[in-house]
Parts: sequence; C-alpha cells; structure tokens
Amino acid sequence: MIKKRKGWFRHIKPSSPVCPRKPERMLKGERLTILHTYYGSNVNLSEIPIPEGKGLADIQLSAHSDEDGDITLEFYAREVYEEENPHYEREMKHYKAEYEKYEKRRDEFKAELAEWKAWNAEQDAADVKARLEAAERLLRQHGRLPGGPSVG
Amino acid sequence: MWADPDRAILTYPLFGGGTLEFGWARSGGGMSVGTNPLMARVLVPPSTGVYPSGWFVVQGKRSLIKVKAEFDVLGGEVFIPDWLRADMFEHHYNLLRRGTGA
Repeated sequence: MIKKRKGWFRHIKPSSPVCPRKPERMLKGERLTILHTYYGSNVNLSEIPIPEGKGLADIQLSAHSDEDGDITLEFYAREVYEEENPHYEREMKHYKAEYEKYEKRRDEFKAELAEWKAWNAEQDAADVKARLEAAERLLRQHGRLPGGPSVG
Repeated sequence: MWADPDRAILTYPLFGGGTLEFGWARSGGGMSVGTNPLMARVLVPPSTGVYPSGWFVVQGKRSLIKVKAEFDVLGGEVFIPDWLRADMFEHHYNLLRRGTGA
C-alpha cells in the first residue's frame, strides 16, 4: 500500500519542474521607431520622413480609429537589430545555478511520477474492487445471484 | 433511455464456455447528445457460473478501441475482468432498484 503524498490527486499527474531558459550571447529582435502620425485619412506618402538608407519596405503602417471616428495613421521604421547581451555573464552564472537545482528536481520528479502512477493504479483497483463487492453483495441479497462465489 | 443493441459487434469466447458480446446501445426515445454507450452481455451455460442475463451499459471503458485492446492481447478465450463484472452487477442492481429488472 503506497502512502499518499501531499499535493497528489487522483488522475492528475504531479507537475514536472520547469527547465530554466539559457541566456543568449547575441540578442536578436525587431525595433519599431515612430516616424510620423497623421490624424485624418488624406495622406501623401511622399510626406513620410523616410530615414537615410531605408525604403518603403522598411516602413510599417498602423491605422486605428478613436472614439469620435477619426482615423489615425502611424508610420514606424522597422529595424532588425543584433547586439551583444550586456548582462550575459551575470545571466549565465544565474542560469548555471538554476540548472543544477533543476537537474536535481528532475531526478526526484521521475521517481515521484513512478510512485504516483503505482499509487493511482492501486487506487483504481481498490475502487473497482469496492464497486464489484458492493454490487455483487446487493444482487446476492436480492436473490439474483447464487450464494456461492461466482465463476468468471 | 437506451434500448438493447440489435446486434453484437464484438464477440469473445469465455474461458470455460460461454461468450462475451459487445454492441452499441440503440436510442430508446428522448433526446441524447453524443455517441450511444457501449453495452455488453455475458452468455454462459449454467455449469460455468450464474450471471444476470441481459445487456448492460459498459462504464469502465469509454471506447471500443480500449475494450478491444484489453481483450485482443489475451487472444483466444478470455476472462471477464473485474471492471466489467462491476458494471454488470451495478447495472442489474440499478434495474432491480427501479423495478425494471428481470
């Protein structure tokens, strides 16, 4: 008979520990810088102040309408950046400490999961046995089954 | 609510004689949502044992695939598992309690 641990529930597996995220040396992403905002719908595209070395392909447009129904157009310059992570060393140190803890928890979790599965199966079997015994006893009491043990 | 199946879709020979049959319940009137439940029936000669006769709703396994997986592994003659016996006895006791049982 396996003893129930704290935080265990029937048919709900114990949750696994979460692996910490590894820090990246180079940060990659997309940066949007607002170029111009128009209030109204008449826009001359030649008025958009496109930065040096950029084309219309680098410009992103967003349109939204506020409560009084006016349309606002916003133009953004889209810039893809890749720069060195200034906090890489510090993040890496933290990550290594967290990962050691995670590895320890992961091994403990595997053992706990195996124990939980055995406990859950044991509980299921006990439930079926209780249902079977109760129903069989009631049918016997009402004379629907013979008094001796059933064969099957 | 559910009427007995009109035919057995799965049949297994039982160890020691008799057969175990599975079939889909037919609608017995009224509204229902989803697939009709699986029903089973145990037919055994009196020498093998005494079981309540008639179809009963299978509750221990919700799908035919799971039922097949359990019995096909054994191959040949099968035993009636405890969960199926529990379903059978419970169903027939409920019929008895409602006054509709045999």
